[in-house]
Amino acid sequence: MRSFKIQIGRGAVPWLAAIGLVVGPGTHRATAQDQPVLIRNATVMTATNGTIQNGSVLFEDGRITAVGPTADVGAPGDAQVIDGTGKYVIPGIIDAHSHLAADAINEGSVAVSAMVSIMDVIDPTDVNIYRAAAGGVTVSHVMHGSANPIGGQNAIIKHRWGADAQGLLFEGATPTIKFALGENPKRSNFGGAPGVEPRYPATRMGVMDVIRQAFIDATEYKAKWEDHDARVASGDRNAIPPQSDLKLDALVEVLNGERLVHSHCYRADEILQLMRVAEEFGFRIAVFQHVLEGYRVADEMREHGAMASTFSDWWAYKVEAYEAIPYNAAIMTERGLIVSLNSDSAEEVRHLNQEAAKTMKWGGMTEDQALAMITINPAIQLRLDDRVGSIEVGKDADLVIYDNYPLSSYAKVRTTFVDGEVVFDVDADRQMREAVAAEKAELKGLLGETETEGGVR
Amino acid sequence: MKLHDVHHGSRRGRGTRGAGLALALLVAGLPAAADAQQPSDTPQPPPFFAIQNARIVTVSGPVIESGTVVISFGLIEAVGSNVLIPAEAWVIDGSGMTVYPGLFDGLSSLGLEQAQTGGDQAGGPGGVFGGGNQPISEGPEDRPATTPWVSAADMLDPEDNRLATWREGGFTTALTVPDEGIVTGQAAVISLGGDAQEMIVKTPAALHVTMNRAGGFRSFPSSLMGTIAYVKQLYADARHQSAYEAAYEANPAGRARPKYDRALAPVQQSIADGWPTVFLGNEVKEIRRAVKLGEDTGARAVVAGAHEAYEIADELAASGVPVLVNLDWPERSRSADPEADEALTSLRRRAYAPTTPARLHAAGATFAFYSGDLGSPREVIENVNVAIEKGLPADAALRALTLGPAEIFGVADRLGSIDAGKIANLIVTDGDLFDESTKVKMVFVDGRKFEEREAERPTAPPTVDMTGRWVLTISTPRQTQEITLDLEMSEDGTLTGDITTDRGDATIIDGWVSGDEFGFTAMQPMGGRTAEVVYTGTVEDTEVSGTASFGGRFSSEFTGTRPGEGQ
Repeated sequence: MRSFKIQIGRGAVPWLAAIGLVVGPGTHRATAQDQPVLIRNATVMTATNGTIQNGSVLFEDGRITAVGPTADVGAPGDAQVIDGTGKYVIPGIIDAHSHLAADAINEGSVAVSAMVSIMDVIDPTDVNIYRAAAGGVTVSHVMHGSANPIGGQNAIIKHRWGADAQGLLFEGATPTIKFALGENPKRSNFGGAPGVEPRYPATRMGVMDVIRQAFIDATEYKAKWEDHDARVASGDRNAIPPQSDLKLDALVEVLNGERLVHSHCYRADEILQLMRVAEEFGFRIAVFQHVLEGYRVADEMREHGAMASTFSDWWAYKVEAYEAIPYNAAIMTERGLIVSLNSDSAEEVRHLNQEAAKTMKWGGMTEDQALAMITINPAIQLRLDDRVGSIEVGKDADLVIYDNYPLSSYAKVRTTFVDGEVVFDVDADRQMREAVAAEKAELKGLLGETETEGGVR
Repeated sequence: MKLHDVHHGSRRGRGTRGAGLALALLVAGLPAAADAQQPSDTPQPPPFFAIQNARIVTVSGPVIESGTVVISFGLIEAVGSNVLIPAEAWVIDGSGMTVYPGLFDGLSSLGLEQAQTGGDQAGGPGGVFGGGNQPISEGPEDRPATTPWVSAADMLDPEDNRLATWREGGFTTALTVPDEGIVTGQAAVISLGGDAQEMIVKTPAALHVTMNRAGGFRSFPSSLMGTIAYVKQLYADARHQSAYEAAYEANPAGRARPKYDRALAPVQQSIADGWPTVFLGNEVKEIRRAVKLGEDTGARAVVAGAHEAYEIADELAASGVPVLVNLDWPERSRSADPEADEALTSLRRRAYAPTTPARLHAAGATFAFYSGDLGSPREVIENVNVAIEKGLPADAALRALTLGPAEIFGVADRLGSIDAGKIANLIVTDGDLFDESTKVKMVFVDGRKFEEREAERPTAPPTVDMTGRWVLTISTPRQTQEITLDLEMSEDGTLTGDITTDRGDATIIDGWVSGDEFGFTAMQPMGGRTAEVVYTGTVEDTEVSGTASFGGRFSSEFTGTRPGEGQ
């Protein structure tokens, strides 16, 4: 039986096959290529150490082993060489706010849905994983929706198209959780059903009340467990463990700094409110998401220790988004915040490079600052900067080859690597379309539905 | 085996005598012959049968080319090529016949009046918006859509028409499962014959967990991830409750008395006793989620559905999780735009789903079959044959319909093969079971012989030809519905084909044309459940008219025409 899984398929292109490109369910990790690959003589934009003209990148076993001017990067004799002349190489793009690859987004029934996890409902068959990779994206922060003041647990995936749900998850990533403020959690723009009582909260102060109460509960719950652990430690063999609560377990992790809070927000006042509530309980908001009025409270956010992930120029789609400006990312950057640009969209994710470029037009960001907003900065925000986000020796070989200058609307991705493996290649994609058409015809034949007289029975 | 309460004064007159008889047998342990003298409005079946000179497919051992099966008081007393036939036995000449164990439907709602489960429990399955009179579930503590105390065994309706339909097609046994909610309730292994008490072979035989929502966006859980989180919390709560109860039992002093929670007690029991717990999953990602949920909860998972299990047969075999394969192979929706390009994933699923049994078999996985939404045993056999064409050995197919499900649900000591001492659930056919021209001639359920039901249809030859497409308009007081029939009529007037409604599709069963009259039955989808709809009417030229009876509850008139004909 034909079992080749997809698109970037076995033997799609000879050199792809040569570097071990085999994509099938659950097999991804086992097939990591072990032949070194050298991208030679390209313009290498490292994101952390400037741009190297006539540069080369060598990687092996999924990690970058050398980067520098072509003359300085020696390649082993068995290396697969990709000629990068006239091409650009950047680190894989990281989307700090995404909703692709999930079979559920919102558990909107309750105001605190911290017990649910996107990790339980990852959809490895969502073609948007592949399409985003075609836009140079190699890591996505797949978030719970914004229906609740405290939402669910998020997932961080690598775009290992073809891997199963567990195989997509970024191994060892610090867990995160979604919070949301403003119109969405107070359900301003969502009509209820006739006869159904609306859900609390209905105001911004109600949103803060829900969050505060949840952490009062979590603090009590944490104390209960600590008391139990102390009793066990003191030799009390009759101690019965407290009833475990998946919702409060996640919030205790927040209190302990083991789970990062990424909070959806728009307005300056609610940003300040949330920081105060978090400080009451001794934790920090890691990243404010959307944060369209962040330019107004950038200093306060910096002082709190928060970072910001925003849109380039997307606003006015609801009242709380009216006060946005396209200089937001630049102003927050100049105020010393780590800023990323995210997509929040399966469409926009395919051209995050252009979103970054807009900050050069609006706000005068440098090329390095713009590129950082979609690479190293989101990596820092997700605490993954030791693994991804720049082209440095020892980091994951998550790389994108562009045919032309990436921070431009003319940019076109040629090849995207995740862990040193090709997950998108423009030539392989064309061949794959033929392979898909051929397989469809074969399957129709197998099903006895060869297309004739306009339709199948 | 667990003995169940035998209720006196059953509301069903027909059930009372049987229950009394069963009680007499249980209490006194006397031979039933004594009861033959009791007055009875129906003839009593003899307690002994012997089917001789038959081909016997035992499933557990080699086929006996010519042998005898002796049935005694509901059990198989002896089987072999050379066995003694008791003098009292009703001897049946099995020449040219084959005896098989009765078929076992691994997951069904047979004998259950559908949509009567669940009830009005807090947060239970609600209306479209969780509104109406349904209380809103605010979290796991409200135990939404969780009714593990609901037991299929308590709700059996021996009058369910499907029991006879299934039995006549060779099924004698089924796992029957309440299907509403998230934790829907306790499944029972039943025999497809007898009164409600007699039908039960084992209860509880399994617990059933779906990935349903509570109902409506205001009731927790309202999403797939909410349901998964909820099920994990429920099992964590059950374990905590068990630990607390044990501690209280050991030393109640200074401890609050444990609160009884009917939503936890059966789950605790299921963990303690290792009940098979059925989780649903068709696509690879769903199957893996089901297996993982089994691991996360510590439940003894059985995965049902499994249409894409062909992709991960080895993984499933290695996991040891038994698989129930839904024989209702995926089809392209009949309402799909014929011009639309079908996705590769959909084509693959349709092409390869029937290879799943062969792949599971080759991988050494434990699996069995169930009928899914198939409307008749004929379709079940047809769809098993598709799996056989795709490489499943016929003996493995038979096993997946007999001993396989019996093993998964812990009744292989009593059912699933023809062995002395097992329950006499047997069928006698006039040929190979998987030959579609083969007829089931006799069915034995608990050693009682069931005859083929007389077809309720006129016998005059047809004077009209109904082959082709018809569009019917059915008017009920609330709405007018249009349905499409695609029919084929054979020379003797047998009518087969499909019915398409805006709620889904069904296959026509028991169809006939006689003179200018016709009739057929369809198990039609009706908003999440199926209802038996019986159509009868007359044909006049290119028009039809008649009556549709919905589950025997109400009837509606219909009229219909041949669309586009002659234009």
